[in-house]
Amino acid sequence: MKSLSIAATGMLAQQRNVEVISNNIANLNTVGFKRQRAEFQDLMYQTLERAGAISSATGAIVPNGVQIGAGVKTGSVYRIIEQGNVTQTGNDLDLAVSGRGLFRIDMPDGTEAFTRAGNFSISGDGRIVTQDGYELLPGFAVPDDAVDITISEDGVVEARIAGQEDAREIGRIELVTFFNESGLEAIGDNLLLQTTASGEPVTGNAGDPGFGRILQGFIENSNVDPVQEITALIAAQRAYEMNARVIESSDEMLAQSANLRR
Amino acid sequence: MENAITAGLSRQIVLMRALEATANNVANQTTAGFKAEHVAFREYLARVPADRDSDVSLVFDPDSYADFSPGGLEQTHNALDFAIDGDGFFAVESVEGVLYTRDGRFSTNEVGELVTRDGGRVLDPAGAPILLDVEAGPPLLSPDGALLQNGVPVAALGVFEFDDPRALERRGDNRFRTTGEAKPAAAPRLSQGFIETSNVEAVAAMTDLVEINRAYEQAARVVETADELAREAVRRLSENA
Repeated sequence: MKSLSIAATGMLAQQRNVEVISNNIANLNTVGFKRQRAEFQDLMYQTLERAGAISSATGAIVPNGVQIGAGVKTGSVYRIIEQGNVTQTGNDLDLAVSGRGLFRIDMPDGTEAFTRAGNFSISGDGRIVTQDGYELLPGFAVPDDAVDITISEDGVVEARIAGQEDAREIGRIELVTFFNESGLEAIGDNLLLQTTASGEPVTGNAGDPGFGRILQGFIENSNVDPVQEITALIAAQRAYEMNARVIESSDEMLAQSANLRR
Repeated sequence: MENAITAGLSRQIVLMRALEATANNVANQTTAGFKAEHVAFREYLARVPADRDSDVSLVFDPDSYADFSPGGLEQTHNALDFAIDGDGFFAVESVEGVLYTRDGRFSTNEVGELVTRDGGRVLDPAGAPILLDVEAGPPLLSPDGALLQNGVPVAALGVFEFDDPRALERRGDNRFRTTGEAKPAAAPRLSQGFIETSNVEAVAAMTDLVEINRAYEQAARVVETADELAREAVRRLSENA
C-alpha cells in the first residue's frame, strides 16, 4: 500500500513547512532578518510497464503507461532577499543598507561573516562592534573624546572631537555583495557565511553602482510579513490534515481487505 | 463464481492505484508547478471459455495522465521567481538531456547563470544557458521573456511548447522528460515575482478519496458475497449428498 508512505511524505513536507514558517514568525522583530520559504518538489515516479502495450485486437497502442508518484520532498529552503522596511531610531550607530550590500564582520576565528543587521555599538577600546562584540570591517578606532559620529550615505565615518569645530574622517565602512546572496549560509546571530553557491564577495563602497546606500540612525527590520506567514501557516495545517486523511482512507481500505475472510 | 471474485479484485486493484495517484496529488498540493495526475479506467472483457455467449467485464487502468491545466499564480515579490501565463514550459539542462518544468523558482549560481534550485541551468529560446551580469543587480523581465539589466536586454527566458503535452513523461523534481519535439513558444507570456502553484484541487482530491473508499468497499462486498455464495453452495451440495 504505497499511498500510506506517499501521504507520509506529504505530512513530513508540511511539517517542514510549518518549521520554516514558525522560524520566520519567531524572527518577526529580528533586525536584518530575511524570511525563508520551504520549497517542494515531487519525488520520483514509478512507471508501470504498460506504455506501448497493445490495447485492442486491432493493434492500437497505449500512448502512455501508468505513472505513480512516490510523494513529495523538500527541495530547498530558500532565503528571500527582499529589502525590509527601515525604522528610524535616532541612534548614531544604527545603520541600515538601502539596496544591495552586507556589512563585513570579523569573527573571533579570523574568518569573515556578513550581516544586514546594522545595530552596532562601540566597544571599550573604541571599535565599532556587533551586539556580540565582533568588529565591523574594515576596522577603525573611534577617538575617546569623540562627541558626535556622522556616517554618510557612502559610508564615510566622521567624528567631531570635543572642543573642535570641524569633524574629521576616521574611517570608511565598506559593503560587500554576492551574486547569489540567497546561497549564503546562516550561522545564527544574524550572521551569514560565504559558500561556493554564493560566489566570491565583491567589496565596494556604499553608493557605488550595484551597492546600496547606508542610512545612519535607521535599522532594517525583518522582511517577514506576518499576514503572509499566518496564511501560509493555515494552508500548511490544512494540507497536513488532508495528507492525514489519505492515511486514514488507506487504512480503512486495508482493513476492509483484511476483514474479507471472517 | 470465480468470475465475480476476479471482477471484484480487478476493481480493487485499480482503486488502489487511483488512491496512490490521489495520495501523490494531495502530497504535492503545495509543490510549485506541479500538475495533478489522474488514472483512467477502462473495461476489459474477458471471454469465459465455458460459456461462449457471455463475457466477464473486468476493469484495468491502461493510462494515467497529467492534468496540464494552469495552477494559480502566487505573488512572491522575488525577482528570480517566474511564472508562465498560458501554455509552455521552461527548459532546464540535465545529464539526461533537456528537461521541462513549469516551476519557475530560479536562482543564480556563483558565476551568474540562471539555475534551478538544484543547480540545473535554465536555457534560453536557443537552448543556451542564461548568463546575467553580476554587477547589475536583479534582472527585470519584460512580458515576452527578455531579461533586462540596467534597461539593456541581456538574455531571454526560453519557453517551449509541445504539440502534444501528453508525450511528456514525469521525471520527479517538478520536471518532465519528452520524446517529442519542443518548439520555442511564439508569444510566451511571463510574470516576474510570481510562482505557479500546484494545480491540485485539494477539495476535489478529498471527494475523490471518499469516492475511492466507498467504491473499494463495494468491490470488497462483491468479493465477500461471491465467497459466501460459494461456501453456501458447497454446504448445500454436501448436505444433499
